[in-house]
Amino acid sequence: MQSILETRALSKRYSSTLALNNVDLSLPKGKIIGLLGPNGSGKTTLLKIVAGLLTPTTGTVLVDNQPVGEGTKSLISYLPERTYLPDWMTVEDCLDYFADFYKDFDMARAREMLSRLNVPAGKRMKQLSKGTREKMQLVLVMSRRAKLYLLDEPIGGVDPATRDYILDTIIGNYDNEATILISTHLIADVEKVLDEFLFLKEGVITMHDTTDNVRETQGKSLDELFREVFRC
Amino acid sequence: MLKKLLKHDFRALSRTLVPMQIGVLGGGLVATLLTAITIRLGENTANTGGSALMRTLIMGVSATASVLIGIAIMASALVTLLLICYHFYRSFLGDEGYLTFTLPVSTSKLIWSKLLTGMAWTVINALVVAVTLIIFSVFGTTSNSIVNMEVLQAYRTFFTEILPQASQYVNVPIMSVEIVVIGVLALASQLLEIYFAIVVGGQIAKKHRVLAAIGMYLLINMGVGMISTAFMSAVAFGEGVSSIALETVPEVTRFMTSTFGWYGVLFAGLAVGFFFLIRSIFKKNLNLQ
Repeated sequence: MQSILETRALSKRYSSTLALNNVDLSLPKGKIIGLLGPNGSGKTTLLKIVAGLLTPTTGTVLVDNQPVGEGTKSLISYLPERTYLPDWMTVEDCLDYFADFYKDFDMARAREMLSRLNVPAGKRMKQLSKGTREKMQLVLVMSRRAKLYLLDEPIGGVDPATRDYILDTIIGNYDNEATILISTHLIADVEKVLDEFLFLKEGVITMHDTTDNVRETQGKSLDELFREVFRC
Repeated sequence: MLKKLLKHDFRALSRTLVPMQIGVLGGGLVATLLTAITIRLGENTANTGGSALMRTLIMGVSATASVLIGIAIMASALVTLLLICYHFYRSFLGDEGYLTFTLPVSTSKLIWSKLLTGMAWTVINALVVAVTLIIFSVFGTTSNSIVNMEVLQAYRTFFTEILPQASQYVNVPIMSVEIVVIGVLALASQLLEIYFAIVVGGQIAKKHRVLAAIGMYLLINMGVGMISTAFMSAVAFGEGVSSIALETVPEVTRFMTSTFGWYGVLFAGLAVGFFFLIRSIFKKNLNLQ
């Protein structure tokens, strides 16, 4: 199976802390994959390196066989864990911005999602609540026809009803050829949509398997397995 | 893509800089009007034998208006520069960096866009300041008529007499082009030097990044000063400046053209150097917090 993301001996060190330690990874196309681990395990660091926001200390990253750069940025749709849209921009400005820079941005899909999520079109970002801004970012990111979606805590800041809508949107809207890598703590919520999962502990991938395999061979849900593996 | 980046960068900066330039122009017009009225009142008081206290008061108001317009103009140049730098900082090193650095655009184009918008707004501010000063000097400095004919005549003299006289010594069109080119290169190198200080300050400091950027700018500026002095000294030595007589028109023209040319080379070299240093940090050492 062709891989959309490959890392080889990938490490990232922040002064005295080793955030990622020799990570070898190969993610297939057309899958929804959970990137799971406790706080500080290196999930955000991994996503930021793939998105091109961090420079690895050692190792290589290939996205669709290309090193991270201008070319891979047009393939990746990245949702960071923080709000990054400028305060002064209106919802319309944001749509205009994404439509200008991303050829794969689907304006009709974005408007439909904004309407479903009750995001007011004329408002500026600073006038929106944190939760609504997060919804706005998710809409922008999921309205692209990207090959690789990197979602860092996409459902962390929203209510359970919106959470369900977002997960339905993720399943219903993504291209079968695209891969979604979701980092989250809310494993019980995302478990139903995941094809595969990665457990990341202290910068090391400790497990990479399919969710079906866990259920079939161990008779456990992913949430139960996570609690067992990462018990404090 | 550069066009799109420019469009969005202009939109972001225009939000604050357009009202500010209108404010400078408006403030200048108000000060002009206030000073013109004050001068007329002062004249009337003097002609009708008004008190010394009244005259002093009126002159005080006039002086205050003039000082205020000066402060506003100086502040507008500084605030324009600070807003340009803050836009650069926020776009690349703040949370907006998550948006900027994930765009499918080359690093060079990202820097070009910030440089061109920064330069354009600096020039716009300079033009607004120049227009404000001209309006003030022509309409706010006489009591005899609406227009100060003496000032107007001085401007006319500059273009009809001084420039033609200068053309006896130097080639005015060529010199004008050289001055514009050097101005553009100097502005580019200065902005890129500040951008470089912001980038390095942001890389080395996790907290107090603005202070780190200011510290870096002072350090870099010292280095640039030393390089510039060494470069121009070497040029002067190489050209044999001390032996040039500067007595004939061709000698003066050659000397000035050569000096301006070397300054152009210096500014171009600094601009290119800073551009590639910023590009290299963004491409090879980007670590967005």
